[in-house]
Amino acid sequence: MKKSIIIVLAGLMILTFFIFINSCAKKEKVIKIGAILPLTGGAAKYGESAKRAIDLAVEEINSTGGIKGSKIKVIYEDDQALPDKGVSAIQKLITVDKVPVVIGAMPSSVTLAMAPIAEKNKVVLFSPASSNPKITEAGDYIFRNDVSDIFEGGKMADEAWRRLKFRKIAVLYINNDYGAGIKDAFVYSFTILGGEIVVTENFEQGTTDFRTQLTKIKQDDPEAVYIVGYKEQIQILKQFRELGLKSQILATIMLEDPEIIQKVGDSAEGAIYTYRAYDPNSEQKEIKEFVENFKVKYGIEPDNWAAQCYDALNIIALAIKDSGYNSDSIKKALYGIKNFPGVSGLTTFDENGDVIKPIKLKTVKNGKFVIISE
Amino acid sequence: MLLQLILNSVISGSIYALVAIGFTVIYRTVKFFHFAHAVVFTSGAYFTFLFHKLFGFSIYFSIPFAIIFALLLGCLIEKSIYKPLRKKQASSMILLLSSLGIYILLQNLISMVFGDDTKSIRTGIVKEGINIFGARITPIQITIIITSIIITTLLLLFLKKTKIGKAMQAVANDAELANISGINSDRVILSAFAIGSGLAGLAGILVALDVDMTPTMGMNALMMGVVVVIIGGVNSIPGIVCGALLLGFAQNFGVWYISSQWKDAIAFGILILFLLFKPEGFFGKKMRKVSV
Repeated sequence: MKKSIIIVLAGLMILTFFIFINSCAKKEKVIKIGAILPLTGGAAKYGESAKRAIDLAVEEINSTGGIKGSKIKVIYEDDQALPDKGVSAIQKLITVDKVPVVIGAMPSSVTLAMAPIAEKNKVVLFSPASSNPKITEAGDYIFRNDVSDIFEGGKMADEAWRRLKFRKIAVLYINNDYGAGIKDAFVYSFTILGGEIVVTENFEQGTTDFRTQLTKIKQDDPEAVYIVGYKEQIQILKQFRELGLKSQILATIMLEDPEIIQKVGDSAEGAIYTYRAYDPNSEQKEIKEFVENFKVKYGIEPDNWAAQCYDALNIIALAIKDSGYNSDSIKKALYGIKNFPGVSGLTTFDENGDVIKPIKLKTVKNGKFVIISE
Repeated sequence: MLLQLILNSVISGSIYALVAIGFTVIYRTVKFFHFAHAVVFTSGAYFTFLFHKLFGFSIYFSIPFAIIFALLLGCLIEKSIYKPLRKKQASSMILLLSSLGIYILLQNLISMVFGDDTKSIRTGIVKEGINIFGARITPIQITIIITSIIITTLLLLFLKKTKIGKAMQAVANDAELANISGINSDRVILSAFAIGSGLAGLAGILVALDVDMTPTMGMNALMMGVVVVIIGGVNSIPGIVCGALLLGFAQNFGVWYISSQWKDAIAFGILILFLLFKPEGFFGKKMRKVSV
């Protein structure tokens, strides 16, 4: 009797020992990073592009030995671009997978909803594509690799005043965090420079009738109209032309979408808009390689979001490599990153975790997107 | 600019009227909220897209066929789902839930087949609208206004003059009584679905010609259509037309004088006012209780 108990106990001890060894070994071998992206739903197009870029970066790092011999593993969660889904996704990643760093989310509204949870649990949240100004103040552990709207709206105001010499501008913007953020930044900067905002009009996401807003703008006869919206821009540009408006069109990065140009024909011709530093046709070595590898793997050219996500993973990998795999050291390393040669531009983080990257000016010429200035 | 504002309002009003009339033709006979009407509306646009853009038929051929397909879709829903449920004495609540189910199913089917992005029937060329005393209107918008005038008149004549139209009125007033007096209510309901769905399909196509299509376009249209039906009164076609115009004018003038955030608030504000002070609709008279 006694003997059998001893044997069982010994067996148990050996078993626990092996489990312990095994779990230690596992911890050493895999570096887990969370990623929350819109993989289904209306924004799935962006999410898919992002996931492909992250997968590509992981593949490249792992094939060259990983980070100090440990392989990276990204755990994906789907937020459907909805804040509530994002909140449950980050809770799952923190409590179940115990990741110290999460890439996400893409829409600002989702990032803002997740930020307090990341902050409370001291987990680094690194958004690859949220541009809302509120994220600047979202917390110490919150970073982003997309330029704040303050910079984009401010840049456009500056260019409209100095380069394009406009003095009277109307603004038509989408009534959500994104649209209001850019509008505020633009109006603030343009009025400080001495310009006049003749009228600001807004619209709800997904609406298709902008005639009365445009009629109002037409009455005030501005030199230019600054349009901030997503796919609504198709109907806006179409109705802009139909109603016979003649003002110069100014827009945001969201205008660079082949679908919009295809649907509105030459109504977008000559529109001037701000764009991120990323340029797929660049001759720079890192960018060329990235575009090449992405094309080989997926058959299409990577967009700006793919570039920013690719950089996001590489920056996190660099931070882990330099200072270790826990949230506080990753956070500290990220604040220290200066002039990282990313494919989406030279990347520096300021004291708020905001990225500082160049913004350039582009225009639509013969249905193509052309750079005016770097 | 005032003329432009009036034109904008009339255009919105015409679309609302088309959707609302299709909805009410069905609603008054079956007396439940036919949610799937929204997807029949959407289907008209997507059938046209399918025939014209994917199969390459001419637009003049594609549109009538798309209307017929939308009409058949409406009849199919009635035949295969509502009718069996009615035979089992299902309550309006069950019918409403089943129609919501059909809506979700078919809308997702459209998303799956065609994708969530914006599709358009028109060519990519955008022209300036026709200039009428400084106001601009496009040919397609003129078509929308004219179509809704013609459709309304035809429908009024149909309901007043034809046998099946009168039978529809009878079933609308009291289905059981109509049955007793020898009217086949199933047949009448089916023709109501045919007419209502055909109208929905037509409205969907016209809207898509003007502002393109997405799989969710139907629900937004239906929401405003239902507001119009309540403002106008279920049983009065002229009331619905006036309701649609009232809504169109109120929304566009609201955007002009207040701000566009208030567009939906204005619509539902009017709805609440009507529900409170004139629940029987625009031209509706107060019902007196009659005891037999």
